[in-house]
Amino acid sequence: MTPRHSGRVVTCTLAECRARREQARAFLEVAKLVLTEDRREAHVAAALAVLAGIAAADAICGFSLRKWSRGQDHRQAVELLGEVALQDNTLPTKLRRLLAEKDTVHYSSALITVEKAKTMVRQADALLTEADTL
Amino acid sequence: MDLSFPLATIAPTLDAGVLQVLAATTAGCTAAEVHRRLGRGSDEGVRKVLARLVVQGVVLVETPARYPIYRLNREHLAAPHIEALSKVRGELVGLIRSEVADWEVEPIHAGLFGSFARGTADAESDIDVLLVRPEALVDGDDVAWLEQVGRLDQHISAWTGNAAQIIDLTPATLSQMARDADPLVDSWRADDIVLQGESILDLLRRLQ
Repeated sequence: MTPRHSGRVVTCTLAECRARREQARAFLEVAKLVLTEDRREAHVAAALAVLAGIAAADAICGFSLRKWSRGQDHRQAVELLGEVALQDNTLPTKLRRLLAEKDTVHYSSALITVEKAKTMVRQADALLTEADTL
Repeated sequence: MDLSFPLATIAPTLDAGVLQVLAATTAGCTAAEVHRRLGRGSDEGVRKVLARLVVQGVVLVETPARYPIYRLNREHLAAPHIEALSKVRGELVGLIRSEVADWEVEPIHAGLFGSFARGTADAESDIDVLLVRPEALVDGDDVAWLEQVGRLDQHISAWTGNAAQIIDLTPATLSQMARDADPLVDSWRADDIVLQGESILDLLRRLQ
């Protein structure tokens, strides 16, 4: 049997890619729902935007390369997205910026600003838009 | 048209698949990796196709280590056309989505399902479309609804050469099908690509 794992990048099926894209959509829908001028809620939206962005990037890589990144190495996830012939070439930068905020929004006690949360939701939206073309 | 490998409209099937794999990435791939991503044909067949495409100059090969690495030559005059054809699937989804968005009578849900949505369609496959009508169409709206569905049917066939298989339901029928555990409902839950309106999961939850 062919090993499914190759380092921290794993192969995936089309069905898994579709499921990951739907997860991205669900995260983003809820992020937009809770995104208000209230800083506490905006923080939740930002946390969901990170999850949406990661899921959408996985879907893009999966559909295009039949593999996606696993594990905590954020740089590798961005590099793998950079291997895709993207319509929007700014997406690796958008993913990198989203991932740079992951620790803050998921684990820190400090609340993120509303403006920052709005930007992050837009970044995740751009990733999902690309995933929807595949 | 084979919407999983649209380049097959102008190239032999395996060549189309190999080009599609290379067009999807900016990185280089070994022949074995191209074969894995393609998921069809034989290893030997893929190598022969790559060798042929290298002769045409549309694929570049280099051997930095043990195995040759292949990549699409994006400076080749044919490359933009290959890339455009490889993206036809997304273009079709966009075309259908914008047509439905302009409809006079808006659907509660419009989506794509079946082999096209799963990415496994071939030249013989229908394009499966699920439409859920508004709750109660008043006289006149019914005619407008049927006209717009008929136009979509014709357009899909003209755009792709594939027949459209349109399932046009009332919310009540969808609800009944869900209660009857109709296998089609499961396929909609699993595969549906939303074009317009509520997601099928939200709609089914609401109709319960």
